[in-house]
Amino acid sequence: MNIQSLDKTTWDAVIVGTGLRESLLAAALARAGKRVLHLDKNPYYGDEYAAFSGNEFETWVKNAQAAGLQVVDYFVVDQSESSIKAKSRSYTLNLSPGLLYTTSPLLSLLVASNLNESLEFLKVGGWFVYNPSQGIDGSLVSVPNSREDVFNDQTLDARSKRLVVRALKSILGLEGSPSANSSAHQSSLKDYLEQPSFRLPNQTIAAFASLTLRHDRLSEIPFEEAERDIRRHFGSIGRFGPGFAAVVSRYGSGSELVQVFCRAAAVTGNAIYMLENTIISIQGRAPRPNWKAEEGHKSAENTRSQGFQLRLQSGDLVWAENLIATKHNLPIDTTPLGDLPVSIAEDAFWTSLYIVSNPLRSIFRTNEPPAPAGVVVYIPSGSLAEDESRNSYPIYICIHSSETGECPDGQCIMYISTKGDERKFLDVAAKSLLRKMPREDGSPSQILMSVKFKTLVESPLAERRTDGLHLLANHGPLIEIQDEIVDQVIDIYDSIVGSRETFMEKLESEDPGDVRDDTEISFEGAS
Amino acid sequence: MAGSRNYDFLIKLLLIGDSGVGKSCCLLRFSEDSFTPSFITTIGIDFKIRTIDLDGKRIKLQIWDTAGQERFRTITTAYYRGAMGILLVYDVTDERSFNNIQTWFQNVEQHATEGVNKILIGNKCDWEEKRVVSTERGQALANELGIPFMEVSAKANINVEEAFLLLARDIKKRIMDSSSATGEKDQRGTVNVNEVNNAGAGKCC
Repeated sequence: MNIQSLDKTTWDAVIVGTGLRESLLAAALARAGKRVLHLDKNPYYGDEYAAFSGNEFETWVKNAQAAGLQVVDYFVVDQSESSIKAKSRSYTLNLSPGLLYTTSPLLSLLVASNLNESLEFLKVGGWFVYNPSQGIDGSLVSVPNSREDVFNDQTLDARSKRLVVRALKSILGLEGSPSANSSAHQSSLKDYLEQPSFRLPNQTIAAFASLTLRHDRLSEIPFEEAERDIRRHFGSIGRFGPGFAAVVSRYGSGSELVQVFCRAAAVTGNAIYMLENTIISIQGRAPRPNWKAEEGHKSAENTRSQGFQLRLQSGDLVWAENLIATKHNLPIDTTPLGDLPVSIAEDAFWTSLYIVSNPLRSIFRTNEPPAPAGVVVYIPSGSLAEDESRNSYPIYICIHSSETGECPDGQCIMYISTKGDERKFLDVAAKSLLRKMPREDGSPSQILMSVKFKTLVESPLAERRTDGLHLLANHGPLIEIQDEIVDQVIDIYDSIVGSRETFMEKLESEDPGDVRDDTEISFEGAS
Repeated sequence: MAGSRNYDFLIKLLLIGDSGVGKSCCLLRFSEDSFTPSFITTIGIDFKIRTIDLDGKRIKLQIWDTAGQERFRTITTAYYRGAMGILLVYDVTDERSFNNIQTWFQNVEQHATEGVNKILIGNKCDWEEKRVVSTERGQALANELGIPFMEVSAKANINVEEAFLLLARDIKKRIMDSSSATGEKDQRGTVNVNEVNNAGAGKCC
């Protein structure tokens, strides 16, 4: 293999880590003609958005435990360990469910930049509120998608239905609703939903809360933000078909998007990819060296002359005008942080993945075929009990069917997440839900494998920037792929390219499908 | 979209092999009947499409190139998704590219769908004075791997067409003739994010 050396090459941008933000940025910069060196210390793409086969996942767990960076709690049923390994390739295990609202700017971006060709999206069909104290039939209550759903809801009486619709209209700011109470805009979601004039049943309050995808207690969610979330949910329903607000990509949205963006960057010829390579030291700020430009590389114009001299793990010395990475992907002892402000807050979450020996078919039913491949289950705070304590934060369970390609037929994947340090309630939630849903032959559902890991999220998400160094905030994907990611990447792109409008523009040379279809040559009879 | 499609089957093919063996040249020869003698590694080729007629069926071949990610062995696993056929390409004038076929083959076995059709291609077969890998060695490797073999030249336009056609035929035999599948079976249940459904959007109340 004729690997040319990277030694003494200069780059417009060196990006470390192949998470979603880094990969989108690489694609955008490469499309804009910037020369990008994109590195990842891991032998796989994706960083916090990675996906693994059964065997690879076990390796990931062991490495994560060894590195001590993440607290990982791994459990596998003895007899299923060998079956997961034997069927290793039937699994594509993601670190997060990667839910995408149909209104996600990422989806529009993929379509606008001709990158959706290799992705397949599947419906996330339903939101449920889980009430463990109810019997099998009443424990999972579907969250209404529309006014019609509310009226068809058998669990509500006529009076409640009117109240629910009134509250819904009010949150969505629709005509005929009571004019928005100005004090509501300073209050919490709890204050808002529990206001006496609404008289909402508890179940309905939980249903509204479930749509925010927030792990905070209701009293901690500012109403304005919850209102935005709930409007986003309803605004997403029907965009690509009736009855669903969100999609996931087959094999996992995060990991697939990352790979599509990295490939898009490489296709331009402007980005070079290296895995298992990273920066081991930043040798200070340095003027652009007079190294020989890489073969076939036209030196860019109008570039700054100051940049970073970087020593790579591969031994190569490279120079970068811009350096983009999260803190954990940089050698922190040699990173010139300068006056960069420290992050404001860091929230801890427990996220997890469970492989379950039950396809849970009943939960993937729908009135609008095709059947969804994912559902979201919300467990309100205080509804699970263990060792005389109750979950103080709500818990989300995202369930993916084997249709996603994440597990073999007859199984499903549950991503369970909660805030704070209430790890034990992840198992409690999984087991409680599975007890309510035995297998079709009546045998109990089994957890074949589970892994729980602590995820830290810095806020705000915005990156910190100084003279060509773009330090990305720690970002752990929880349930949905956040819209803010795109804005943040566009900001960095703007600061490097000097334009927002050109972000991920279609390439001139691109002409999908139709044009290439015109070559009509018959091979009939050829042998 | 499905209603207006002008083909009976869609077949996704991949090119795999070391840098510089001429993967993109084979692709351009087949899809556009052009040849560019250039040393620049792959630029701007994502995939190419050519529709052929095979035994009365219109087959749309969608052929993906490595985008240069083979250079440091950073081909994404997503590249292999849904591929029905793979062309493993080496350069008959480059011993190392031939030796690396084993590694690429293992890569394919690891990431591509089980039972995917493969073909071994020795490119640059017109360049006899530089040849270091004999036709016999190529054939022996193909036999060992249990896949068809063909020597081609994208530059001299030798056998490129035939190689793609051979692979397409094998795939058609394996997939289409063995079931009633139209090659779109897996498309059921997927959401078309190209088409925003204005009628339904935002009508919740």
